Amino acid sequence: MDRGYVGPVQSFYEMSKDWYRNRTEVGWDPYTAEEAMEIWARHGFTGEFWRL
Amino acid sequence: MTPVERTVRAAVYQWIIDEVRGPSVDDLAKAIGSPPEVIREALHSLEDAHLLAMTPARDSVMMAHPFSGIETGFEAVVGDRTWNANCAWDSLAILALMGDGKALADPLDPELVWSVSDGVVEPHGLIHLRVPAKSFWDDIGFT
Repeated sequence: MDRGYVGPVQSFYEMSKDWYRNRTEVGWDPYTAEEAMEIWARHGFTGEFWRL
Repeated sequence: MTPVERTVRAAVYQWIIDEVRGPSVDDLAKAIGSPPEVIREALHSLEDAHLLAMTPARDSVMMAHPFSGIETGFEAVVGDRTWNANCAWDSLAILALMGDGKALADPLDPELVWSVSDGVVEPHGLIHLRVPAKSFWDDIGFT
């Protein structure tokens, strides 16, 4: 197994706000792979680890 | 997602938010007013689509990210509510969803607690993920 990914807790928090926005609502739609990677990239979560 | 699956998925989240544990098939059947067979089928479809995870017996919800339906030792505390999370990231993510509070980020180290106030996480620290994104759902329990 590779070494994984290490990131600052604040970045994970900010990304999570985006990632889980509207998640509890009836109208929420699952992300496409492109949408998921775009959200992660907005918060600096890029590279092979975050590629779908 | 079918309309029924959308309703059931949202009801799962509402149940966990209100009850701080994962709902059973019967809990959801009563909450929504639909037959248990309909709920069970919707839950299994949602699990197949990686939108939640069921307990091994497949009769109640184990994970609806970032929430855990069962006790894990990873916790998010907001006011007088304590939710279980699936991992350190999810304990923080519950705070991102539910508001400022405290995240107990390591079941083996009760002193590892992050506090979020006005959206600022303290103390500064790092989160280490071992499983790459494309493999998150290969074994979601391990992830």
